[in-house]
Amino acid sequence: MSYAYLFKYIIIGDTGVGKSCLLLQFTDKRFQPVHDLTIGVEFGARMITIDGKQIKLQIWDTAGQESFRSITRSYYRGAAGALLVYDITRRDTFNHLTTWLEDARQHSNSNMVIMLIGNKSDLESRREVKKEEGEAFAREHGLIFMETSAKTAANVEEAFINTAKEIYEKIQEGVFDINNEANGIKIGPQHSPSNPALGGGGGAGGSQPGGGCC
Amino acid sequence: MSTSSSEASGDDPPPKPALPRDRILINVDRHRNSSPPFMKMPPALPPKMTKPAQRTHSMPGDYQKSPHRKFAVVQPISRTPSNGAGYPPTNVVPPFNITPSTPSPASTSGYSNSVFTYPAQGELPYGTSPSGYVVDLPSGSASSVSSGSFRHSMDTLNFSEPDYDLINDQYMLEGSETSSTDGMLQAASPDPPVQAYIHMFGDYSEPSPNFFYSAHQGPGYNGLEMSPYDNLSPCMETSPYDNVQYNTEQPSGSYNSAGNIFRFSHLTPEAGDVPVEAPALPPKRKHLDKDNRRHYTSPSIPSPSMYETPSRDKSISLIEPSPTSTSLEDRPSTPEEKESKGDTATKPSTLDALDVSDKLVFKKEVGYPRKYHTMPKTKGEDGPDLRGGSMDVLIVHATGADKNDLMFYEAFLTTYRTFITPKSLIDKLLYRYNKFRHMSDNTRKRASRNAFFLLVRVVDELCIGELTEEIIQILMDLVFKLLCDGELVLAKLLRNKMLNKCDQRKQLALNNNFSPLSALSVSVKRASLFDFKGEELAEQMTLLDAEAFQKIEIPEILAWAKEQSEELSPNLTTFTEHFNKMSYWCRSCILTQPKAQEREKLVNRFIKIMKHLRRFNNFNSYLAILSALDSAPIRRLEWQKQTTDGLAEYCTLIDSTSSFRAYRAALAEAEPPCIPYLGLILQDITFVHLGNPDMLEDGVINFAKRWQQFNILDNVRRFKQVHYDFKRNEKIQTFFNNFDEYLSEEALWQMSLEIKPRGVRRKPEPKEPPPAESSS
Repeated sequence: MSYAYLFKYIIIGDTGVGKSCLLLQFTDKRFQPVHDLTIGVEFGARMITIDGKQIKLQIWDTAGQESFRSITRSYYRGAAGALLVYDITRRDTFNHLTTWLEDARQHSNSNMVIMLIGNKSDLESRREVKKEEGEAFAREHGLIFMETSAKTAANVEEAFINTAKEIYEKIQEGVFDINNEANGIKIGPQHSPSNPALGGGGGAGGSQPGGGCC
Repeated sequence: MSTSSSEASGDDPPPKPALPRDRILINVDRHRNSSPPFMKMPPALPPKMTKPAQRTHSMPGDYQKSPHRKFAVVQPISRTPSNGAGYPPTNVVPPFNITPSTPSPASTSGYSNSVFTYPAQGELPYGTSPSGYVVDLPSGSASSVSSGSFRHSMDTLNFSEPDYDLINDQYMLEGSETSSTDGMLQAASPDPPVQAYIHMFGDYSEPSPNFFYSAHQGPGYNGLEMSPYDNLSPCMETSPYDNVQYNTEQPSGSYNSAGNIFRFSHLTPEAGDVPVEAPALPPKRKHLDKDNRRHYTSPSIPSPSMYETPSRDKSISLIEPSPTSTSLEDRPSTPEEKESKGDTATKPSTLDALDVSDKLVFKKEVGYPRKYHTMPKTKGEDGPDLRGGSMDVLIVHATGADKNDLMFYEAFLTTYRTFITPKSLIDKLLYRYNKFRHMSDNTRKRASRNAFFLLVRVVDELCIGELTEEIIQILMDLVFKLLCDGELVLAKLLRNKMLNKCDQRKQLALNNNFSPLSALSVSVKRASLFDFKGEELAEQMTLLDAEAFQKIEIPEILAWAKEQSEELSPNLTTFTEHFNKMSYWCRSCILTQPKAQEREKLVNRFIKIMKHLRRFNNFNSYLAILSALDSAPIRRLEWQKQTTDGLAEYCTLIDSTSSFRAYRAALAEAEPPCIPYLGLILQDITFVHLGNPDMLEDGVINFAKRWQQFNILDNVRRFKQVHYDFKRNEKIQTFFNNFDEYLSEEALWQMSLEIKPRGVRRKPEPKEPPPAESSS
């Protein structure tokens, strides 16, 4: 399907906070089976509309390979947006946010839009982290904040879409260099006639050492 | 003990002091006062001359051609075989010890010290005293055994006479032990019992080839069809083993009147056997009580279901819980389970069914002749047609699947842990084995046998950590029971698998305590990356990787998707750590070079190493190094254009576009030996787990999900089967020092900033980088 822009997202946070469930809830709610190993599991893409424009969100979830921390860091690069997720029923996942944020800032494009998400808002009775605490943390570090429930789908759409809006605004402001794919933004095929940099199509941001960030 | 026995039989007692302290000795005897049960076998052996004659009938090839043939020579043994064979009865006795009036030569020559050895793991499996590892029974116990039991055991043994043939052939099939044991048997020997014993059980310390693994090549698994199990199977259907059961009807119920001959009553479930209470158990064994009970109360033959005893309601869940249950863990026993006790005729459970194919759920499109339940085929679904079934249906289907549906057989074995624990599966298979083993018709006997073979395979593929004392005990009991039933081949098969496992566990324990100190590691001059060829370095990296990769057990990967736990997946965690360490080591090598030129040289050196790693299909190290060269602290520095261009080329392999299409294609083309990047495998298995329900809509197990898991895991197994044959280079390994010397990420970042302070293009960070610190 054609799109005006493609935004790459990453989802980060401790294990068990519901990252993959958020993604599942937002995308087609079901992963494709792996019947062809050369294709693997395709997941995490969805089309949204902002300002009348079709935008494809491609969300990277490193679920399962977090322990390969030397390699998962490289996913940060080449992402335009990040969802930083903690679990409102587990204080420790909130306490680790600083580390995650440092990590993300260090390894990513400096313009990356980060949204803080307090997940599992359906488990109010087991809440350990107050909503105000999340808000305060977000304010302090310049993040957008939202509480979601991957289970009930509350705010899930909004979380992804609001992040996209923020990125879109930054593009409009000219903050993002949309010609550099390392920023995690790609202009849709038919929207980039004047953009030779995108001619090759294939390569992700990860393949351009030395470019773009830090 | 005779010399020959100590050489050839691992069961023969190594002198106690020679044993590592982390082993426990369980003899053969917990019946130490008597000769071990095995010892009785030999006397039953007819005069040796008969041996060669029998063997001519029973070459391996004969099995399939004429299953009955080999047993033609078997005579329904005389009731007093020991006398007939010219051995004093006292030799024969054994386990249920009847203090022989004359001391048995065997026991005085050291048999009674025979031990099984296996590593202790916290708790001793049998009645043991905390202070000692050898199980001692009160010596008075023996006298209470009736002569009936004695006689019975002799009969059993005698009936099993043809088993020597079978076993011989088994050896020949396995190809490992024939020469030594066979030759010994034929040689005149002063000690026939020992030899026959050795002959029967071989040397467990010498692992026999693993048929299933070696057969498991490629998707067809055709190798399985040639396994000795299949060859043996036809014989068993009509084997005199079963007759043994029926012909030995002497009462043997008084074994444990003194309560000392514990755990043996279940071995001889003859008619007239009086169900007896479990003897008092040492406190430690309390948790096993339940299972023991089940054994003690075995009913009379020919009851097909020895487990269905009055105490059954206390036994573990053997029957499928209600299909509406959606939780895969901690299924409670259902009423259905209890109802089924003892009355299978009116209330057949799935585990008792011979054919469950009408209960399987298949894809809709497939035109099966019968009225299979079908589910609508989901978009994009591919692969095998079987979509699901209840737990017991799947288990029963698996028991018969080794010949008809090898893919399912393998997939079941690979993924069953997602819906049943190994212990419960073993219990259920045991139940089914016992259910049908005394049945006279071949179909049922085959069902019993198939359950047994699946059980053996399950045991063979247990992870070391899964081999709990409880499972060992269940299996030991089964081995004893098989022996007493005359099922010597089956007993040997199972026992060898078990002992191999125990050996592995022992080895593992030993290895963990063993850290070699190379003389090179104390050498003064530090080597550098430039002291070795890139190819050599790549080879040695590959060796390290391969070693860690081989240790990963498939179920660890499966468990990872559900819970990322170091405990559940220890080898996987080690492997991952190795990957990370290697990457940080590589970064440290480069960033600790003060001169830009040197750093550049190093980067190019690593690129060259990657070239070789790619050639070796070692994607793991390849990515570890790539992730280092591509990491922010290194990437942000200034490099020559040719360096960055060279690197970019290597990066295309791991380009994440289309779910790593480039990498997956490369992997699919790679000829083993190959070490894949495990992170992506873990990701795939995680997504399959997260993205697919465990159960289908109607409450049966979603086997389509298991097919997907199997696909992923089988690929890993395929890679694990082929090894690299590089030679270990100690100099290089010492130089690597297991990649233990590296700087922390913060330190690396700091060094990078020192080399090249933040540029003007970058906005100032609100936060200072953390202070550098070394992790090594």
